[in-house]
Amino acid sequence: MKKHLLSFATFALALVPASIHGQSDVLDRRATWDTSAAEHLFNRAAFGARPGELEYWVDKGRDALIEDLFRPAIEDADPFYVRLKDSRELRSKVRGMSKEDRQAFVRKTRREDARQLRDYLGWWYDRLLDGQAPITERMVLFWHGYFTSSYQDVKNSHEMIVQNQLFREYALGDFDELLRKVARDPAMLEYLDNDDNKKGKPNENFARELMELFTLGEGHYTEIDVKEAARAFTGWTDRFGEFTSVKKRHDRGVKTVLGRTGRLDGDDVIDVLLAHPACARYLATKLLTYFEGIEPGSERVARYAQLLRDADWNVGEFLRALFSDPEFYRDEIRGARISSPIDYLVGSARRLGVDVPEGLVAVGSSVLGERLFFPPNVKGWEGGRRWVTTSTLMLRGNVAGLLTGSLKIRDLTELPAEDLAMAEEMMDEMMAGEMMEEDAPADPKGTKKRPKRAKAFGNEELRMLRAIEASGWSPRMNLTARLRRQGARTDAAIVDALGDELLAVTLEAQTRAELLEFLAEQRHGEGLEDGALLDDPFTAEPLLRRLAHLLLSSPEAQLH
Amino acid sequence: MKRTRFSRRDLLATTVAGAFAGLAGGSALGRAGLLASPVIKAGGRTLVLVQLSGGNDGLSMIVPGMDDAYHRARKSIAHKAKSLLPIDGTDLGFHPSLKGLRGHFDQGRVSIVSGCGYPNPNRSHFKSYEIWHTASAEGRASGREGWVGHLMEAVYAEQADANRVVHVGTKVPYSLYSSTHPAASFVVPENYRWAKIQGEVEAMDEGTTKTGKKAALDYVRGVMSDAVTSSDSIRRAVAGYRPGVRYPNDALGRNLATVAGLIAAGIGGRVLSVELGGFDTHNNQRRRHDALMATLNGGLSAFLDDLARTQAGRETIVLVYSEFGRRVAENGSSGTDHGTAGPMLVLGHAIQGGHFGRMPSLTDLDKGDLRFTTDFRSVYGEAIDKAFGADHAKALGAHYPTLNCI
Repeated sequence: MKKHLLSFATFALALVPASIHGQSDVLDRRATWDTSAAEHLFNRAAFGARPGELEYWVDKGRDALIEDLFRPAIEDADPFYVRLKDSRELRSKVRGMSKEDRQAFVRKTRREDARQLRDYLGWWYDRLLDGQAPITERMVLFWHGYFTSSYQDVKNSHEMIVQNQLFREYALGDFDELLRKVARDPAMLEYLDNDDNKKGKPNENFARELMELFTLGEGHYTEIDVKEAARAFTGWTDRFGEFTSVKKRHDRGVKTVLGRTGRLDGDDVIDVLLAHPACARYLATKLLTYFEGIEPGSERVARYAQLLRDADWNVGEFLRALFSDPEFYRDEIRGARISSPIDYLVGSARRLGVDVPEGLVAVGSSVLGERLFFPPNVKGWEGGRRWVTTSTLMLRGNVAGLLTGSLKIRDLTELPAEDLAMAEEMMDEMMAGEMMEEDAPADPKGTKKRPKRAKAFGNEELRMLRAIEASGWSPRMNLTARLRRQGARTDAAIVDALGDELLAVTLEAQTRAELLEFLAEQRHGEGLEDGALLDDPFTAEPLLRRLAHLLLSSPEAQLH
Repeated sequence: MKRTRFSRRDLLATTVAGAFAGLAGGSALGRAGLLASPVIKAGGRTLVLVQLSGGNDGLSMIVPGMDDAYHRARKSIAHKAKSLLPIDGTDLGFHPSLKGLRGHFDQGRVSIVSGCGYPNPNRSHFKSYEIWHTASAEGRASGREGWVGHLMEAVYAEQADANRVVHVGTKVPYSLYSSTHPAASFVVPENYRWAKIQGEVEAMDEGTTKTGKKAALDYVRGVMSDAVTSSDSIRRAVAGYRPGVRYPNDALGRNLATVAGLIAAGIGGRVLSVELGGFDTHNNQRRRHDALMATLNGGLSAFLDDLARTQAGRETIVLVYSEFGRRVAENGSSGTDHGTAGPMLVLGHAIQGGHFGRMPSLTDLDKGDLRFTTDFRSVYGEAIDKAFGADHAKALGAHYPTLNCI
């Protein structure tokens, strides 16, 4: 084990000179510890603060909050027990079965395997939501997007779970050790085909991504380096879920990777990559971009790359330094990162203070484009502006309606009446011959057929949503009581208080005006004067939930 | 409870109010630039992009089955020569599952462009993807966004329209990524809406202007504005559409049926996009690729039949392409690794049809890879010229010789 010679205090000191540039008022804002700064730290290091938490930590101070966010999970409290392990047992079972029996057995095993993955995912979401080890959870998510593997290709829940546990173990640990473990991780060996990488018939997939996505980034190596590195990793595979290096598959010849020549094996290549100056810069850039939401300048990269090296690759030390760095609190980045679906859903649930079933967050993040264990490709989720499309904005609003209890699942899955009316209207137009021309070839079989439509949600997602509804879940929250406690009575006070609690950024004037108008209209509909809304909780609560639904559908709600 | 104010689309219905709407909200770039004149003239044909993601093995789609070198390089995954559907005048054959496309080819509705690639090929999955999607050798490092976005800028300048670029599917390809003309996208058209609060969100959109202080917030606002506009027109278009043919009941089939509906309804979509994924066949390629070819054939054949029914459909130009080809030699896992050049297909009722370009040699290789014979941007370029009646150099940044295949 290496020693981490530099303490976190030394880092903080080392960073001070760099932040003394600029105007004094800017510096003051960066150095000011208030609810805005605490919220920023909560949003980026964790997944948002619950009602009341910010005030508490403003009082306790920044360093105390950082310490608290670094608290480890209590592992014994809630472990996940893996039921299905590896294929060895299965293989012996199918031996001697008839073809039909075997097929049935395989189907059943696949179903059970998928169920195990789903159960683990539930366990994972539970941890994200309850926030017992905030920064660890943040980093598990980061590593899952950095060292990606997908169940789609790995098709083995046990291996996916083992990989996820590896990310938990090393969430804040040493990157160099994590990298070596990842190179031996069964899910990774399968996902990037190194289990197929053999002497004489190398498979370059892992070697290429190791350089391009895990250590150096594009432009720091050649095609020849990739080919040579692939040879060094020949024979690294897994057998029944355990790493093994198969001697007779390993190419023991001489290779040259990035200037180092010898009978290199995988670990030698990893040594070369870790020693390369681009490696620390690459990881520092990735971490800074993730946590700050914008690409860092070259000076900042250099400073934090050096920090990684001085800390012997310890990521926890890196993050402590980052969260103590006044630059991390600069205006440019506060409230300016587009929330990922998990940030949006977990963050909204935490800010609402509502106890959400994991299934709802699982389905929500999946339809919004961040399906855990199913990253889109080896590069992981690109994030940023790419999270936002016309359709994900609508879906975010719709899932928020479920979180606030102002929508039912059927509101999302069934065709609304106005669309049916629209279809009738369009049919009439078509009959009048406006769209189809007479010389068009007719297909008697198909012409009147409604095209089969995809459902808004997959079968699995729909099943989970229906199970949630069938369980009788509805959000347990009392917005009325909360607002009354805060003394918010008038429409303006209600919109401001709710906006403050549910959003990470301040409402723009025009959004605020629209929300006020909405609230006034709704209140008028109930025949109530401004200021009297909260008197009757039975009238107020559904109305406030609709307001919360609309708030979470606003542009401001997509940022943190 | 019912809202009485005008929605955005009511405002847009009148010209004066349309200009006003530009101030109130606007698309991602803002519709403030209504007076700016487009660089190239907006022509009339719709472009449909069918992207085969993961790197399609072109040698298994348009197969050089007569070439011994092909069989030598692919001992376990080669197609038998007699199983192929021969392409007249060449030594090539369609994959055995591409029966429908072969039928369309015989009718002059398919142009095959062999050997499409670019100089100094990059085998990084992501870099090559970027190069094809930005149409630039540097990919995103050049600062370029998706090539369709640059095309829209060249044609429409700052006059963004929410319906103009539409992706039907989950993940919007980078070629459509644009900070000035972002694509509308959806999976299920009927659910392309804000449940219960559509009117309120529309009103929220009308009320807002961009502050310019927070770029991210302004971007979200712009996309939201586009969502409001396109939600109505897309749901209308699809609700009223009855395809003239039976589409396969898979995602590609459904999405192409939706695209046909958008074209028939004339909502103003100029570039419509769908994706078929799963082409990254590093192992057990044969079974996987065969299934993909059957899916592709079913969807595209039905789509071409369906397009025959309207003028707009008959004028439509369909580009089918992948971000890279695969190695000539198979790897040790009965699959193929990332390679370079591959064929592009152009489909449509009003195109030249036939075989274009030159099939690269399977023996004169560049580090085990095909040498490209046609720059893929020649095909993009010709599609731009023909669909938009304009000079593609303004959109692609350079002029590429065209093959007259469209």
